Amino acid sequence: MLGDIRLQQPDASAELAESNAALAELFREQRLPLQQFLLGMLRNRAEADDALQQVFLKLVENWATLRLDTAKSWLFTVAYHEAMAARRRRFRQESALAELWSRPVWQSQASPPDAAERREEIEIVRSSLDALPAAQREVVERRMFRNQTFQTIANELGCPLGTVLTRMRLALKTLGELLEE
Amino acid sequence: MSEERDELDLLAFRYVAGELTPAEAAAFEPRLADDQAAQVAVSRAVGLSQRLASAAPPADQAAPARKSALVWAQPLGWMAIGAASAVLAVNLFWRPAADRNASPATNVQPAGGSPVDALVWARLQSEQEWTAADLEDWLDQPESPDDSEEPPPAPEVPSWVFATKRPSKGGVNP
Repeated sequence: MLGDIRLQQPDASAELAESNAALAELFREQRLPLQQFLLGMLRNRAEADDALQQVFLKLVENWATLRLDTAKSWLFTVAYHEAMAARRRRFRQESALAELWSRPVWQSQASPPDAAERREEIEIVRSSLDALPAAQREVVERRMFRNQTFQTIANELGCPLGTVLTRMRLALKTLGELLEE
Repeated sequence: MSEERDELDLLAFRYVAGELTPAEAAAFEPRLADDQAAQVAVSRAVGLSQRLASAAPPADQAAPARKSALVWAQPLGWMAIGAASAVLAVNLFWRPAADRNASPATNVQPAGGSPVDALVWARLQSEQEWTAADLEDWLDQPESPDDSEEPPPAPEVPSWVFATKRPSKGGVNP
């Protein structure tokens, strides 16, 4: 009897270790995408981090019943509901929502990395921008660096809004490919 | 398929940029509850926009015409200029005689400790244009760089993650 227990213990321990490893891997893999997703919805770093913590707490609470193959989509669904709950807590008025929509998400970014990393990152991003056709680069720079709306860009360039959006779409595609490499 | 993804990426970018109309946002946002492609697109748009924003040139290059138009038009601009004049007057006429004989090079530091004095001095030294926004920025600055922002969260898996219940591979998602 005692022998049976001793034999079973290593199995249980191994199972727990395996489970913890899977949980840790899921955390590492999904932390950044979830954080970005929450930031996209909340436009506020502190609230996004709070919501992210809630998401992972729920992950831990439900870990015993979760299926690994659908855990990622489960996490995003929970994140969506956490973000909506956070917004309900924060915004009670229509005007406040209007302010939310008017604020680009990148104004809520975290503190920058150290100087060397930052220089390297800037170099990579600028070389990617340089790889864009001039017309696309101009739209990206005006939108990101001068904070002009797409409509303003269209007005100033004297072209239809659809043209500006098409250029941005093509630029996003190229930048996504270059920066994900 | 790829074109659909590109359109979704643009939609997500416009969403995170705050450029969807309320109607568009109201139509797009519910998709984020269960549309995995839309969820990933938003996450990707935030990541990309943050990386692009990190490479923004200095504000002067990005918006060269902003400062000059504002300085004379705002009350704070005039207040700042008044403060500069007052500090100059103090320095010129109220200093002890012995100090007046000292060479200018010995008086490179502002005498007072207040932020406004320091700003006045810094601006006089650099001969930069002085806007009301600059004054506001200066006064809004924290006392030390340590106060400015929390450090980014560590990438390690926190220990509470492992304070979990018994694992199971065969469970069912809610």
